[in-house]
Amino acid sequence: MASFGYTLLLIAVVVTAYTISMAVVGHHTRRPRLVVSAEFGVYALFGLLTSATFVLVYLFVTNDYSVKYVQHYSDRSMPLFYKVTALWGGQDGSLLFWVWVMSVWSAIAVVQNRDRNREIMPYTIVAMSVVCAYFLGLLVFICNPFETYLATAPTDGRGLNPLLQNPYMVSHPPTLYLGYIGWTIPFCFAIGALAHGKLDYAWIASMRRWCLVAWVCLSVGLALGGLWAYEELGWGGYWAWDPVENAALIPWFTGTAFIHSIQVQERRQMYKAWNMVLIILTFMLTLWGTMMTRSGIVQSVHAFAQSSIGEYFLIFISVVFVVSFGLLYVRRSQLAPENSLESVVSREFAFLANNWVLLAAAFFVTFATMFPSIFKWVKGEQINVGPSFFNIWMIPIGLILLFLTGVGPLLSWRKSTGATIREQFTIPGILAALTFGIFWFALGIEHPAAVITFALSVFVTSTILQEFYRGTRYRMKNAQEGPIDAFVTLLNRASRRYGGYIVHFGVVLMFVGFAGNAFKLEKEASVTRGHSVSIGRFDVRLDDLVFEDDGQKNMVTAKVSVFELGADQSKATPIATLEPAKWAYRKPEDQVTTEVAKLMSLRDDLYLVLGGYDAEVGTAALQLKVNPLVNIVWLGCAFLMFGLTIAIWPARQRATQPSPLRRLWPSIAGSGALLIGLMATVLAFI
Amino acid sequence: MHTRGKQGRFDRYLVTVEALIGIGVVTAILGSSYGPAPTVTFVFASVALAFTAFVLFKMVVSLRDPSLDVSGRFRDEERDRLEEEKRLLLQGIKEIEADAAIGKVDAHDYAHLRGTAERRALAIIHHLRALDERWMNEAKRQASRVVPSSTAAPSPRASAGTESAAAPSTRHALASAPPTSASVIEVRAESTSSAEPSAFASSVAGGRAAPAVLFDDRPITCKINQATKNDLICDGCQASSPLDARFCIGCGRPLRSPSDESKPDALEDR
Amino acid sequence: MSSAKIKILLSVFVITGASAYVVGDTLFAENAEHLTYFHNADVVLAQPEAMTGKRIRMGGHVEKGSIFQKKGTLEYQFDVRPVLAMVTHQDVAEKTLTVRYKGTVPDTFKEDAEVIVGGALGADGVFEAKELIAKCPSKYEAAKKEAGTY
Repeated sequence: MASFGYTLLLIAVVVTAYTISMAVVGHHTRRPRLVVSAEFGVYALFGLLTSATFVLVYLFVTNDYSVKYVQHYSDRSMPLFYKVTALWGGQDGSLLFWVWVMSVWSAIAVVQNRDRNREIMPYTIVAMSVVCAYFLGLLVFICNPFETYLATAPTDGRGLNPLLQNPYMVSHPPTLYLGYIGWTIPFCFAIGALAHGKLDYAWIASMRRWCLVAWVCLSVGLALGGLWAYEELGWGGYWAWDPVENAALIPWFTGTAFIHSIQVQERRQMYKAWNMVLIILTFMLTLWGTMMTRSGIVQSVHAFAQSSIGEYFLIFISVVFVVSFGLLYVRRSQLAPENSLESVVSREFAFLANNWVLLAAAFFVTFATMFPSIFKWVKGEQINVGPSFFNIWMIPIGLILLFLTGVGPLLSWRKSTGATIREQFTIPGILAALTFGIFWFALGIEHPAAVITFALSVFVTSTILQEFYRGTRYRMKNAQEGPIDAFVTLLNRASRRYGGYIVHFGVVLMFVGFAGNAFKLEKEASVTRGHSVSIGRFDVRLDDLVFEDDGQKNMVTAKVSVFELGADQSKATPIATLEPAKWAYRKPEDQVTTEVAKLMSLRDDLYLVLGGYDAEVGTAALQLKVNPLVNIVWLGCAFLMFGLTIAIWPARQRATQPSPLRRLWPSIAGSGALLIGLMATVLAFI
Repeated sequence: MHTRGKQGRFDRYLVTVEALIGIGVVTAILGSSYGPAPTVTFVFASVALAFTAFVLFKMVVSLRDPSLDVSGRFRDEERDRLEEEKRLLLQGIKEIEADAAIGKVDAHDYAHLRGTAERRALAIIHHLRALDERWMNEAKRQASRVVPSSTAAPSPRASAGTESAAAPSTRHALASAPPTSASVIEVRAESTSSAEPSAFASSVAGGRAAPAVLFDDRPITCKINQATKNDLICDGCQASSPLDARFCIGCGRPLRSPSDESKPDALEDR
Repeated sequence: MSSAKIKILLSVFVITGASAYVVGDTLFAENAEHLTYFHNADVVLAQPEAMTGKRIRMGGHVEKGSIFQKKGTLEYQFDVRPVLAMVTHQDVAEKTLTVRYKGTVPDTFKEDAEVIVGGALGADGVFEAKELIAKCPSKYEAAKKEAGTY
């Protein structure tokens, strides 16, 4: 079975080569049937890789430990679910998964365009196939997931680390991959357009939705990574600026810049070359990110195998760089803007500023991630950079970005005049100033970054509400609708715009959550049975220590009651019981996992970790943390998904839509299902 | 591909359903002895393989299918692009209107932004109409050639004969009717020889330009820019004025003004 | 020169200036308190006098059987031996250094794990750690580190 899988990969290589040559020849000899044949090649690649992927899954579920990859990442005792998902547990399997998703995405893109965009399709297909061919080459020659043991095969696998047997960890890598690969498709369209020279609306129109899908996948992937860290790792945070996390964040910055600036091209026919640069950069950064985490160029707390594929990535990135920017240079005259920037106070400029800030963020994070390596090279000494190093620059960059989120949508295209600015910004400005005053002077919170974040959040939220209010009022007046109808129609008709506002609101919520970090409380205490310790508004009492064993692992659980202290610190009302625990697995190798217990509310999380215990005395060493506003981050993420679903959902023709509510329900249902799924996973693991 | 009628489609559904039932039965039989998870993955792998075989077959067959080389098989790309740009422009206009209504844009900018977008959109609409007209004329010409006796130019669909499903427009009917595909190529040859820049302009005015240019390879932007300079016909006196004129040159009657247009759906963006 | 070119030149200038500032500021500022020097344990072992009291990060492997936790508390003591691949002072490559740490430890902290401890070497020759990072098994290469068995 394993050699059959490998054969499928070899056939896939041949088919890809065929696809590339047919698309090129068909395009240049003007024989569309060759291009059609190349399209069938893309579908065939999809079929072959689907088959190969299922063969690998089959090997996992049938416990075929003669295959090295299966033996490394699973064992007999693992639940079926984790056996299937062990597919992307290691490098070789991830690469197979990667190229499989790529083939799925390209097949969808080709089907979508089977009778559209015929001129740009040949080279789009070429670009897709070259990317596939590169990864296939890696699979076939360097990291073959179907490799078997030559001599005697072991009878059981090594198993997957229990830390990774967690739903977030299972869903985090594939979501990130979906995002990464999602960006590949727009890139391929860009290359197709550049190669053919047809640089008008076609390529933007054909990949706009792809970008949004890629963006939301990448965002959700990042959020899931954060959730995993928060739930499972037990250090009470969700983001540590680790190189592996940064690798996914950097293309997120450039991608965000891209989805903003293509709007300028749509409306004002400007920034055409710039958009090309951005999408090429985004794609290169996804490759760069993969390389950075795989090659051991940078030090990370994630212990990746330092494999040799780094250099191959470097070669591929260089090829991509030379080819794309070469094409861009050749076509530069066709990418001239049709309008020019007329004023600094215009939406065009706000978009440009947003792009600059996002690129600055991408640049800085790249630089800081590579910094230890650079430092070693320049000064010959090794250093480490901690989160505080990132925060020096990322806090101001984030605040500017938040400010622009509020300002941009309110400015008009071309230029804004004094009167319109007054009309737009008076209320939000006053509200923001009031917030700042209340927090800084009245409440006396002297933490500038947090207070500015709160003020800006109020500013942005009020601009969004103002937009919604004015839009609704406008519709009510013009279409004689009631307020609810008008509001729903608004979401319906201008779904991209108002969906975008909802996404912005989600971002605001996330910022509020980030600002909550400034008010963290932390305490370590050894508590004996019956005694209690207090932190912030909570009082935590250790009721009991329980020792259990379920055969697979040893479990120590601290039963804890939480009380809320009154204003005078005396009256305590019981609010919950929590059970932080420590599990010691028998296999593999006495792996210990810390089971965090949390008391969640929108206001804050009480985060309890059982660090140690003394069975004889009945003492538990607890680490207590109060993380204010942390759940707002996840809430913001949910809003982000909701807004994006609204923005992406395809609009139907007006004639066939019976009522606005009916037209909206699929998007509500879709994002609702997403939300419920997320909530369910969260609830299942509290 | 397009000759297959309702019967063919029904047959395909039937085959699909039968295949699904077959796969289900095989899965159930295998599953009872090998366990569900291995069976399901095995069946998935096999189905993917069968799909691959089918697609590879199509891949080879399509190499020897000259009918795929007829460009009319695909949609009219130029038209799609124009429609897309029109959609974007109209959407932009509505957005500008909404922005103006809630006080985001001042009056002067509003006039300018809206004016430019509107002129461009108008030019595109004219162009689209001209395209349609040219196709219609061509279809009529074809029809009268195929059915010489009928002078009243019956619908091209009827004359093409084989197209059973209702085509959305004459353009499609013409392009996809197999027996006439030879003549489509003929028209192409004819048209490329007569290609000249002003053909489009003349068809805007008249619509009678019979052996007109079907395939105009100049970039769209160039055509639109040219069209923007073209004329607007007054409803009252039939005099032509520049496209960006607010009032008719002949009779002075307002050609269009932003205020008298109703804008109930201005906040639409798709 | 057209105004467009001036604009492009200006923005290029501003961007290079800004990035040069960021790079220079972080690379050459001596008071960069956010940067911590990182040493393999052998460097600390070789020159304890020079290291005493300096805030550094130290990397190494946790010696087998050296982890002690004071019962019912979060106080840990363990020995660290240099990471072999990075050793520069061969004479102390086999020695170990005692580390004291108070706080919760990551789940990946166990015997033989590669750790990074942040803190300073005390006068008594014991490294007082304020932070403890253990390399994540992460995602992918869970067990590969351990050995090339089979």
